[in-house]
Amino acid sequence: VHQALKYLLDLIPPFNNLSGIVQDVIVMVVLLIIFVIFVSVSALVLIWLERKISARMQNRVGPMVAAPWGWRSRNMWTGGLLQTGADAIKLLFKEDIIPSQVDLPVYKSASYLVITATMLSLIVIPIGQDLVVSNMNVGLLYLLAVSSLTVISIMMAGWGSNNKYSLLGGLRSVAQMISYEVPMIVALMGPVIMAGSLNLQDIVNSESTFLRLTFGSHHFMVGWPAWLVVNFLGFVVYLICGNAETNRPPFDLVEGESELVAGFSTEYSGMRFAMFYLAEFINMFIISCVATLVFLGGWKIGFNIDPLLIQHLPLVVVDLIGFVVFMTKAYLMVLLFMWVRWSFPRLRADHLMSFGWKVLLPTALVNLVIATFVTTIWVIFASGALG
Amino acid sequence: MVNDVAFYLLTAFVVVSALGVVLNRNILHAGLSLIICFWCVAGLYLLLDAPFLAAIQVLIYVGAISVLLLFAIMLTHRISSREPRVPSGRMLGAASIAVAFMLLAGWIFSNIPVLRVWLAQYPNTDIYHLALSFMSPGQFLVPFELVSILLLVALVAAVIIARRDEPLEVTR
Repeated sequence: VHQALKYLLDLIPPFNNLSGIVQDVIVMVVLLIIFVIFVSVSALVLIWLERKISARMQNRVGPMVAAPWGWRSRNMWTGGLLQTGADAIKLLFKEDIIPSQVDLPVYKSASYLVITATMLSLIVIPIGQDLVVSNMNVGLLYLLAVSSLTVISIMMAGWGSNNKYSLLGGLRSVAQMISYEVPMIVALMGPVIMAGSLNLQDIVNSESTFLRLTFGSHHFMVGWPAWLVVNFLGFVVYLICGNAETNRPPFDLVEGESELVAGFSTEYSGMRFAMFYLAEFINMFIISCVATLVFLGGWKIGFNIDPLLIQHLPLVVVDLIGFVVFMTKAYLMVLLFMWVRWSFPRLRADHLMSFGWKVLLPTALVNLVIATFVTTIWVIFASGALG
Repeated sequence: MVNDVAFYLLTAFVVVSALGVVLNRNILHAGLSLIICFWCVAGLYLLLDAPFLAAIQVLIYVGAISVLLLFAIMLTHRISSREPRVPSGRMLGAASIAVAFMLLAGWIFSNIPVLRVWLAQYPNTDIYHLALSFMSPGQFLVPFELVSILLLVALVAAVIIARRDEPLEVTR
């Protein structure tokens, strides 16, 4: 993408005289703008999807019917298309109410930090072979590191609001996120050990060549389905922890209305609230993307299909197919998250903690053991020690 | 050139936020500037082509230690005060010691030719060789263990500082 943009820049008259560094900066800015727009639009789509699905499941009217004039009927696809737009406009026009007793710098920067942290973690997510903003060697580690900024911003929001409900909600949320981060990381370690890399592209590539069987002269590759079978426990633990990390129901005790009003976001209104809202949805998307990349083969279809595609089709078409496959998987994960959200009641605080430490962590460790075992056997076979 | 600009920006942020940690009258704000400081140090590691170290810096210092620190701060009594937290005489002493230490470190790194020769042996240090040299007895095992003793000393010191001066009454 970077090269293509640079090439385009060389064609346009006022830009082709500039020096390399200035061009680099322009390319960077353009990439960033594209990126931010993509992220915001996908968050809007996600919010619409969530309201749509909740409306389907609980027979709510607005998100099913609000639509441009021609499509007013209870059309399954377009009904409710305007709902998110209306929400966004409403939030934009709302007054930015800042309570008088807040800790102003902390209160304000919390709402900026939460969206920044979320955007930062998106840059290492590849949507296809070499289609990534920054192909970092330690991509997964970076992702986990940056997501810890979200924890701090929630803490800042809880403190800065100068409200006991906010503070309690913030502290609860931080406690929950910290304790669910542990099984989440352990669950991710299984695939990392099997791939021998923290780079997300490397992980996807070793998924696609996993379990290569040879019958005579025929090679047969199973790819990510076999990978998922080996790492299934880790996958389930990751999904549950991901749900808890984004503070979504059934793990939304941080904003349990009956006890904490709205948790750390109680004192935020208008666009500042929208920042937290957007961040939650983008975070959910990121969790889905990571689940897709680490457990579900990313942009690969699986079996022997991918090498065949690369052999017979031009690279652009392969990339396009990969993008569609990736997005399909990621959105299926998102759908799963929404399904869970509208199906389960909220957990109790002590249940939440004991579930995290006594159930999820051991399960993730079992997955780690299985993955290590499989990798060891793999290495022994590959070295030919067993013939 | 871009790297130079980034370096000076990051360094400025590190210095300013570090001063913020020391001089801020609100402990919570001091803790938050400590997070900025850690974050910018991670950026410096990135400029040094050590992304692993940068990610670990963020994960451990920003993600774990700072959060713990903020928790501890939120449980304390006086979070903000009108007077400076440290008396100015003590602060002067601390500042002069810090400057002296900085000069010493700079002198060590720039003036000892042995160190430079030794550093030149490892043009691209990856994490594997780093771990190897920390763990093998001939190289850095002793300094590595000394650092952990230093941590232990700090831990004991923290307990002693936090302890009440008068012995606790034993309930009968």
